Amino acid sequence: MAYASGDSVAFQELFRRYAPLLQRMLLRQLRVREEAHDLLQQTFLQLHRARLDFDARQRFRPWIFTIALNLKREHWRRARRRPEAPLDDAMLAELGVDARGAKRWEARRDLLHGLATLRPEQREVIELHWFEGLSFGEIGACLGLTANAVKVRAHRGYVGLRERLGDDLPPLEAESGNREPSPGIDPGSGP
Amino acid sequence: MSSRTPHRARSESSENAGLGRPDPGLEAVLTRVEQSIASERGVRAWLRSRSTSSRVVSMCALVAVLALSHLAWARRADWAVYPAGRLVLIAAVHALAVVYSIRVFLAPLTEPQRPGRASWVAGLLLLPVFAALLPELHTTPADQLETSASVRAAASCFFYGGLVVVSVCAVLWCADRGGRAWLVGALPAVVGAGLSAYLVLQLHCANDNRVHLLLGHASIGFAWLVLLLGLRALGLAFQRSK
Repeated sequence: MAYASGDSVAFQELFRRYAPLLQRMLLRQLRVREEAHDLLQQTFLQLHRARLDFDARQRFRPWIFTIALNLKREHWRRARRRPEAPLDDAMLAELGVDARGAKRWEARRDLLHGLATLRPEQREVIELHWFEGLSFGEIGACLGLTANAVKVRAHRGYVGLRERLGDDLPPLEAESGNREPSPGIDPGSGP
Repeated sequence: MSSRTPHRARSESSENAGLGRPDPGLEAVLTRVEQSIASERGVRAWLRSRSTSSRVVSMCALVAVLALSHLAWARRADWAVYPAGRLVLIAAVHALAVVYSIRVFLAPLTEPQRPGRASWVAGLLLLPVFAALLPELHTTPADQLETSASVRAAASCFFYGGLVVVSVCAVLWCADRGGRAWLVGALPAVVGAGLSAYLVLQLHCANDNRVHLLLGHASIGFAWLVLLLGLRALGLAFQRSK
């Protein structure tokens, strides 16, 4: 990696490539823009400090997501709380829940509210998989779990979502065009 | 199932979208990050940017130097008669515990967190207690001291061990990259330093009186742990009062 050998331009490239993804994830979970930006800043500072730990054979994306997730947990531990602020319309819009149709918009809003009712470990897996596009293997690398354990968590989360939202569970798969429900985690295939 | 998600394309396009439409808020964050990185100067910044394995090895080496220097110049008075096997066993077990504590303390944020690891590390403080309760194997003049004299001698060992704890914690702090919550972050350092102090005292102090060992040697790590928890409680009380 060029940055590990001191290339500051490479650092800016990394920031511009990954900061929007990390910001979106942190904002969705923290719900306070200033806190998300603080953690984003810390994530890249920690990346700088840990640059010599990076092994070029590793994938970079799970590596930096692991830093951000750990910092987020430490932030909650420090604050001794989980986010309580409700998702308002402005936040939903910022998280990519656009208004390309009121019905779909409401469905996505309900989905995010439904996600907030899940157990934190299930919500974390679903958010990383669906919203951030990490594979089960990458999520496992971030959380210190096997891919199968991640699939089990995701499956339980989707089943929980289905129970909470019923038929209102939005057709996420159809929206992005190329999304298909993963065979192992189809919410309809639960027990 | 493929390890790649079917919606990877969307995610990658988001990354590219991030390149095309810079968010002014993110640009401000980038500026702040670059300022933070520019201020990363000096020995501490150099040390904490070393690889994790280098940091762990160098910190363990410092503790080893501390212990070996006591062995060389301030070894216990009953060195010639103290059972070597027992000393080697106690030293080896405690050295391993010190290495583990240091590794946990210096664990990078690029590794997934393991819940409950801090509790395991805190449990290592019981090792010196078990060692102090081992059956006595020999009698030295120090063993024949009255308990009151052993308690008085324990105070000086406790103070000396406290100096070792402060020194080791200070060195460990230099190699720490930060980012962790205060209590969880500091706990393995205090445990590692407390066990280092016990190791050093075992190599230096010839008083094998059980009360002395418990009060002057084994209690050091616990005392600093209690201090840490007390400071945390004070901090929380201060936060609530604001």
